Amino acid sequence: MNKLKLMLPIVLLIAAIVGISLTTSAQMSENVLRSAHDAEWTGLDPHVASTVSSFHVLANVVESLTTNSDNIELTPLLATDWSQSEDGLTWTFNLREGVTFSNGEEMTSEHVVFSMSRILDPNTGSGRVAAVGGPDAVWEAIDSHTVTVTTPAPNAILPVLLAGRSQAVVHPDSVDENGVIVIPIGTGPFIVEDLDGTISMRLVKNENYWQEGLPLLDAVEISVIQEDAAREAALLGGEVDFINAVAPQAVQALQDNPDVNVLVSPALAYKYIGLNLMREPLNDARVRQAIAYAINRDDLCAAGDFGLCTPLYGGPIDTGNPWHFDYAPYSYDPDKARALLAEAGLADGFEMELMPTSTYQDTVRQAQVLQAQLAAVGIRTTINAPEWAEWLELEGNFRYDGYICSWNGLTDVENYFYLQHRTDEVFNFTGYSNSDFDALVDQGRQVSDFDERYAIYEQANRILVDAVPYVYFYNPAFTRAMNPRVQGYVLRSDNNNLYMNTYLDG
Amino acid sequence: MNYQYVLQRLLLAMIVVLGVTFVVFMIMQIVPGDPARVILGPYASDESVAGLRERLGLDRPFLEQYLTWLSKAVRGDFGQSLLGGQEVAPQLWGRVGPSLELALVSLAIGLAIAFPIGIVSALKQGTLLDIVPTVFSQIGVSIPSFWMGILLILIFSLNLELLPPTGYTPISESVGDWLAHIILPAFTAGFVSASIQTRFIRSAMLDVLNANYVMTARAKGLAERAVILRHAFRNAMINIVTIIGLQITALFSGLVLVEIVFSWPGLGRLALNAVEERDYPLLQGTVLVFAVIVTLVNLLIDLLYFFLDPRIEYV
Amino acid sequence: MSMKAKPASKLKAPADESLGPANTLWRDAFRRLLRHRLAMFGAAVLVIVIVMGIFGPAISPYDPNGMDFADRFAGPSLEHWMGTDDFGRDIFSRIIVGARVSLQVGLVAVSVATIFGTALGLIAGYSTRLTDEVIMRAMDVLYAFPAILLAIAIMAALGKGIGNAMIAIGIVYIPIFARIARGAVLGIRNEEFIIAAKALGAGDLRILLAHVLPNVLSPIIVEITLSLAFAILAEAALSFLGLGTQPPDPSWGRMLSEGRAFYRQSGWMAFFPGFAITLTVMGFNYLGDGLRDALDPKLRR
Repeated sequence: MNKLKLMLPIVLLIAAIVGISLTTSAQMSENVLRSAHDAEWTGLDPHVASTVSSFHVLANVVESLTTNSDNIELTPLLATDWSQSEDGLTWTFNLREGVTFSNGEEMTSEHVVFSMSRILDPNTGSGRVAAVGGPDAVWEAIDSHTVTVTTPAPNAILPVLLAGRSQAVVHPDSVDENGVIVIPIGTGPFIVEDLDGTISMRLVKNENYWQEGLPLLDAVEISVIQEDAAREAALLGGEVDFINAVAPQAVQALQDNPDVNVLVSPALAYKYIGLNLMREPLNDARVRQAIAYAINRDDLCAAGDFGLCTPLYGGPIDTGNPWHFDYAPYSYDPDKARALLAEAGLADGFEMELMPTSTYQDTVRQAQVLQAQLAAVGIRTTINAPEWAEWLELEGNFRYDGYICSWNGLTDVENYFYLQHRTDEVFNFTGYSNSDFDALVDQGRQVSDFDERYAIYEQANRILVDAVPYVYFYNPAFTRAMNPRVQGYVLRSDNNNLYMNTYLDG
Repeated sequence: MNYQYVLQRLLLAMIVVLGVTFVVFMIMQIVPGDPARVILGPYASDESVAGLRERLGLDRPFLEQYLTWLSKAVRGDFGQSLLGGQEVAPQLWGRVGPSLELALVSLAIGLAIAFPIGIVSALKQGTLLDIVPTVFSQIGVSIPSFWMGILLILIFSLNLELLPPTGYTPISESVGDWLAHIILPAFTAGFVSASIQTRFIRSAMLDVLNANYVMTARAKGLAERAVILRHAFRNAMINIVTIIGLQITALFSGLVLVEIVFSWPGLGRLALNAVEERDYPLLQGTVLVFAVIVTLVNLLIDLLYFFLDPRIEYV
Repeated sequence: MSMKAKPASKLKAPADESLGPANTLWRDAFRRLLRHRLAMFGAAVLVIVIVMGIFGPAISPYDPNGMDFADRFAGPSLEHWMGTDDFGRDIFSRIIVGARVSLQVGLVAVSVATIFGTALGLIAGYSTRLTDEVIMRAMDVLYAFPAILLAIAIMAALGKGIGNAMIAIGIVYIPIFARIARGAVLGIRNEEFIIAAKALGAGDLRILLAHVLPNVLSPIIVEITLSLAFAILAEAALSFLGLGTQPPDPSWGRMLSEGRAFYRQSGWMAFFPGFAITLTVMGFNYLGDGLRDALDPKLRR
């Protein structure tokens, strides 16, 4: 064995590197979008999945009865029109004719009833029961293209609630012998192929798609790149054409790059801290108000989302939204915060724990700013940032003082109030309970006239803002970045990720 | 007698593998965080969580769950992933290849760096030829691997635009693409193990260079070159083989981070996700494969040792 | 692994009952260490880190957790030697104070590993075949896990936070110490001085502590310095995965991990903590190498 032999592997390696860098990177096939997502999907069962990452895929594969347009207005999808009975207890949906599943079968009412009943079945374990009418709702097929749903109490907003891909209509063959949907058979523009666990898949064009001429792409190759820097590098290096999230701090740099198009849109979402009303001294509304006054939301926004946000000084809905309510008492006022604490007998402050989750680093950054700001009024905090799985358990069992999180995809005013704040509702994790508020949000479900509903929710908003179970931080923004060849993609404020109208130019 | 020894070692290896799966199962039982809640999300009701727990068999006693898993696993059925419901087995087989490829290429890169440096620095102990390469190789073992990975992406992908930053192409599809994608992650992992190997190779060489038989060979007047090649190197190989074996465990461990940074579709990334999502069946399967690989390598090393050094006594 | 290499040349000078010769041995080793240039470089780095670790809060120019939103992402300057981070905190101050976390992690984790690992290894090497097999197979089980996965699983069970990170890292390194200790015991178990002590009626525990332990000390000391280096890297890795120190207290691992998100706008945020980790780990490694050379007389030429 001589030195030359030892060097051989190195020489070969160097030769290989040089060789590769001389050959161009992978040939780009026509009309295939290579997209990098920022998070792995957590299952593709639309009725069970709960993460944004799953629905970024599913939105292209399955469809629901109703949907929201790009401007977030309620629009028909699989149902063409709908009506409510006189007594308000029954809704009738007329289904679109000529819609076929990706397996070639025509969609009929039995598929709708099957899908909705599957959501209602407790064995499915779906978190979307309320969105299809509540546990006692009954879905029935009237004829091949008409279905009805009957609820024990009037539900004025059911068509609005149904507008979500988690309320999707799927073919029964999607469900395997274990009752699980691994790959849904839907009516959407794309079909899932080559699914590799939770890291890559190929969406291919559904040749049977009911909307003429769509989708424009032949396929979308989706990979997951979690590391922000690597995802951006993949876009800049031409490995992918599209990335579904840009780290907020990198938006500026990408916007300055002529080889990249960046889309930024205000999000129908809000970030907040939920306070545990079951614990001392947070059960005192003055203490919670003190926290609301102690927060400088501009700094919070700068730290959490690097300025890509709109601060919220009152309720959760910002000025650009038709459901905005003009009530914003909590301007930054540390003196007032101290006064309120003193009034509550806590002139020396108190101690509490902040619970962000390490899975979403923006919450951890917010917690650090909160910690500094609360310290200024005498509230001493520690930070506990468990990962998502543990976080959910702690939140669900009221084992926290204040949790930091966000709500996404809020298309109707109801989404902002009912499920998280009505007494004992499934999403009410603060323990907030107020009978006046409950009566208002119940009433709001039974009315469909905008002005009438606005008046109701304006009152509810005021009660809630004064009680402060949530301290609202700000509305964030969504981002996408893509190669300039990518055209037709619409960044929606509800974060629905649709590749249907996307095409590649040149 | 050799035959018996191999059998005995195989049996012990199986016990170790079983132990590993049992430990994982136990740890996942006491880990806070309910897989059913992870699947259903923050806003699922307690009833739906309970319903899903029952359907997934998570409400059964611990031992029953383990034995059920084990009896299926020995038949090659690793169950279904809790998230998404995909079969675990095909996912595992899909990941073993990329992980092994990355491990082997990393090892090759590591050895290609370590052998020349280790040997030369042992021969020229104390000189610049010893110190400079040693210092250089020390960087590899001292730098956090995920940071080095990101730095390499920034330099070679973003600035120089030489190599793709992430991703994987199967070797069957395109050898060039495969190589282009594997270089950065393999170098990241390989550089770390190179530093450790350099040290072991150097000290293994020093050990034998100072051993009596080498002294004797020198005294007999053999040329220095012959001494090194015929005596020193061959005997050093015994130690080096052991070290490579030990390194493979460490290498696989290092791959977890590297796979994440480079979005490499390997076992490490799969296992990490399984922990995060509390996906027990997936984690069990992944850890089992890891354990089998590591244990097999150790077994092979033991046997190789036997052939390389007949002086070893077996009990 | 259950093979036993015939003691090739691993003979250690037996510790005599009288401490005289042993003392000389250690003194010789120390003298050799002082002449080892890289080890001295490592020691110098460590002295600086230890000073920062002990006096950190007192000598840092700014409050390490003090935020200043008017002065975010400031590059290195006379005012802020290492710049400021995304909260306008002074990175130099955070590096100084963060040294304590790195040292703590290293010391606690390695103590856990050393104490339990050495004890198990000594027992395994010295007692019956059966005990030996049971202990070493258990160690094999631990060792068959990729270290980082084992640490993550333990962290998931214990809960996150720096204290649990130390324990998790410690557990991961127990098998290494057990193997070293056992190997060393096997090497000397049948030496005359042990047999003599046994013949004189010394109890097992006494023999282990008084005769065996001092003789396995040198490989263990070397391994300790090397493990300290690994522990600091492991903390960084766990922080990269979001499992290490909880904010706001600075640890180098977390600073590096957070800073990587700003690689393009403010590269210094990741560079300085990354550099501090690398340098400290190198320090421990050089010291470990130096110790190994110094304690192993046959390496002298």
